[in-house]
Amino acid sequence: MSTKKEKERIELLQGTLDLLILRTLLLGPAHGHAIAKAIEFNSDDVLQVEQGSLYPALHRLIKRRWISVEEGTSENNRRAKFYKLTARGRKQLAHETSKWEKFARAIARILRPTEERE
Amino acid sequence: MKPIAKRLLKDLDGEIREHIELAVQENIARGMTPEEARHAAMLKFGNVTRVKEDVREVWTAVWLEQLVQDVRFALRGLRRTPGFTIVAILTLAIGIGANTTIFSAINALMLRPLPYPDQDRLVSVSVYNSKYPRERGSVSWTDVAHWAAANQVFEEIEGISRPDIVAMSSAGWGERVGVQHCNLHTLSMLGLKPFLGTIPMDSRAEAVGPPGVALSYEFWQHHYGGDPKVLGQPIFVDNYSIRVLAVMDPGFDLLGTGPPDIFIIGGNPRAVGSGVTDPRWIMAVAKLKRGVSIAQAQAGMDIVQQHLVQEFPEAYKGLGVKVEPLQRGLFGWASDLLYLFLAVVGFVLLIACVNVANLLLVRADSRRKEIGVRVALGAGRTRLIRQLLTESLVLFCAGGLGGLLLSIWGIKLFNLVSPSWMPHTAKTPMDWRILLFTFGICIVTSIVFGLAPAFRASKNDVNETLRGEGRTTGSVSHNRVRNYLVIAEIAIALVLLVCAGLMINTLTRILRTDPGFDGDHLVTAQVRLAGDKYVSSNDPANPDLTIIHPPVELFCRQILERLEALPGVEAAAFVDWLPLVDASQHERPGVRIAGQAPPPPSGDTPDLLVDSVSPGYFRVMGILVLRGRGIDERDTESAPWVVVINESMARQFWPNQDPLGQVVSFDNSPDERPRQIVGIVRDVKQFGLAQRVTSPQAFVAYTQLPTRISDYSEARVHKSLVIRSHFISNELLENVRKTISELAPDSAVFGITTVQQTVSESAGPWRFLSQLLGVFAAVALLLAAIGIYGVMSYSVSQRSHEIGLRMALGAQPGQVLGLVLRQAMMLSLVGVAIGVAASFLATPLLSDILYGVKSHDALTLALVSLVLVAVTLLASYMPAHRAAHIDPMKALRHE
Repeated sequence: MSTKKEKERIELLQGTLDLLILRTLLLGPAHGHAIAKAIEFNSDDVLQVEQGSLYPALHRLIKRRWISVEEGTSENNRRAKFYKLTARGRKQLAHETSKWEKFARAIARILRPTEERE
Repeated sequence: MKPIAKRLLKDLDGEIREHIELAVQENIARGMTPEEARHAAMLKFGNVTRVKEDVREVWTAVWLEQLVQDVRFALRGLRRTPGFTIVAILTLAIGIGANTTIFSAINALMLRPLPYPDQDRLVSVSVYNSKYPRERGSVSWTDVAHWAAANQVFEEIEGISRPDIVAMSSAGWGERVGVQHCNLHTLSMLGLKPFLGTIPMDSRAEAVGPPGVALSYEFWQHHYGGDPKVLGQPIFVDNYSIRVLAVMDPGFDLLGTGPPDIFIIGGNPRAVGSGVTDPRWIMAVAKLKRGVSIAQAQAGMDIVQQHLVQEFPEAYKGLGVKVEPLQRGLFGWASDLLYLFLAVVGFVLLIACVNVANLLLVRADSRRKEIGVRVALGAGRTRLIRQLLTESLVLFCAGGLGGLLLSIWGIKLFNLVSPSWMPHTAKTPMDWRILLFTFGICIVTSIVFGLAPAFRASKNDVNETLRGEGRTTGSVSHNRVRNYLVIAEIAIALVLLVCAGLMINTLTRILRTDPGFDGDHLVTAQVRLAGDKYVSSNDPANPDLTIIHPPVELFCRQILERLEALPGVEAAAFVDWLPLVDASQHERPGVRIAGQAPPPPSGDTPDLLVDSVSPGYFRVMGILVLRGRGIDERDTESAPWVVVINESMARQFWPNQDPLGQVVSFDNSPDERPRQIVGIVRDVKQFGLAQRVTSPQAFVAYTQLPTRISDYSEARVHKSLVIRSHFISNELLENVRKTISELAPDSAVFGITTVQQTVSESAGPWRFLSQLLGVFAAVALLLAAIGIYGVMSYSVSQRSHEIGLRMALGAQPGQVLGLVLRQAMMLSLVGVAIGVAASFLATPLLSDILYGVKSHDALTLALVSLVLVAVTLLASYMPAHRAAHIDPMKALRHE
């Protein structure tokens, strides 16, 4: 049962997760498992995503037309869905990234004011 | 499920399987055993069902699909518990059906647009006494003429009378027909066209007598068999001969009480500036100029009225004018009554909803385990609430459908008990407003009354429920909510019962009122003599005078002889207008008392009514002669003219003197003679059993009447016969009819009935109100009883463990019975207390229509409270009995 606390965590994760997916897809189309692995690898395993939550996020991004789907073949030689960044998605990523960076800088200033003062 | 959604879901399934498969392979490559690998992959992926559910929520298409699924699920769930479902749907159907019934009456009168072209520009113009600005009064032809001449806001303003009855005859037959008088342009302003013939629009014709009549289509078909040759034929109406000009289109029914038989067109006073007002008894209908709003029209008419007050203070002082939409003007008074009923049935619905909310709460409790399982399997809380809400929505909509079906009969029933003065509402077909109203109620109530149970059911601790082994001990707060609901039901039912009780009380008091006469063993018949043999108004020398011809007196003499010769008849007499008969048109002359100055005109005292009677009328009717004598055989044309007065006239005219021997004269004929007062009789209730102020009345002998009268009143050709007989049978009634028809074949004979019946009919409005309120209160009581039964049963089943323990420890069945009944008693006492308080607020609204009983009648309150306590105990007895016979072994083993 989703308690209130849990819900907040998912919501916090949602925007971040979207960004991470877009960032991953910048390197080229990938299927679900590959995206999950890439995110884990790139974040040095700090962001432990419950892999299942990737899928609702992917479908949300499709709905917003930031990514698209195409059929492909997986490492197993089975038919698989490959997710690909769209032009809109690319723009969104640039926008989101700069927003994130601003946000991260702000947080950093608050958390480590001494470094700023140097 | 829709194919698209199915395919999407299959794809997602495959994708997730593939994902996990890849993860497993990787894990194996890292050196795990296949089992460990799968376990680790699953752990990392998370709850698969939940993920699928979340993805599906992302799809827009899914929302609708979920709704369909929820509805199906709800239907399946409801089918699994048919007892609950049937009780809930029936309860709701009754509550909603009652509301739909009353609403369709309101819709028919107030919401559906009137069937006239330009109906949005049609307004009603009425007057009001500035002391009672909320009441609407009739207007006069002169008022309409004044307003037509002076206003700037109306394209047209015309008059149309309220329904009236006239005698109508043509060669060989006489009849009493319903009529509405109107101006030349009234019908065309309403957008009505003649079906046959034409109505002359030349306003000059208006000056010289009525130019003609228009027949209603229905009357034409019924009486003339649709013969087009009727146009131009002369007919005799009341006191003049007139031609048929036109036949109107079918279906014109301005007041909703059925189309009149004929319209008398034109011939009404158009005297502008005379300052004399003829009686106010008609309605004014006007058409706004284009672009003029009602508020502007009201402002314009206020100014016109101010000028009139200055110019003719006698006629207009204290009179305001009110412009309102025609629909409001025609039916506003009836809709006030309907809104009262709507409030009443609203309470009934409230009780029904509370019952169903109770049932839903119980159901939520009994489904804790099922819901717990679903939560454990990954159902989100919002999803659960939505599902439970869908369930209550389905339930309430099913109730709404049932209500719609019930309302078909409800509407018929409502019209059956509606008195004739209530506009008909049954003919209006079902329309979108009614559907919207009904399903609006369903949606609102299902959310309001389904939300709390849904929230409660979804707030569910998985571990506890599943571990709890189905031991359902609804929380304390849960029980408290249920108790509140029962208390609310009892309180609402009490208010409705008190209202119904007061109305029934009023009705019985009205029926037991002494009408001032003895109606037992009396038959009555109404006769209207029609034709220029009896009355005419064409004296060229004196066009304003109406002449009553000798055959009237001849008829009066002969009819009594013939009736008294009938077998079984003990005595017969007549009067112009029988007490308590509707639509009476008394002669209301001005009166002068010899040796006194005429009294200053005062608008507050009721008019003097004059009736002519046959000798023996007071004896036959059982009206007490208090002093002096009644009218008798001595009072012939040549004897000195006399008059008998009633108590009210004696009190009003001679407060400090002895009226006997005084001489008065009436001013309604040049041939009147001074009359000496020879007797005083008891007051009778002339206009209604609940009437509080009695009119002054005077009675004269039919032989001592002037032949020429200046104000035509049909009283002179209308006779109400009263016949005393101890053996009233249908045969006697038929004989009476035949005797009258033989003597005057061209007269209209009607209203042959017993006087007791007439008395009983005059209580019609109160009977209508008590029947409706009684039915609704009974339904409320029944629903409340069902609710109490349900809650007590549930409470007993919940406490079965506790009760079993008590009994194992030595409690006797009687003590257990007492335990449960005490709980019910507490609830009912609290409910009754709140209800009594609430009825103190509600019943003063009824005080206008109560008679002989106060709005806070202690006896009614006490009786109704007792009834409710009794019903509560009765409804709780079965559950209590069940509790008292719990087998302690079983109840405890259940643990």
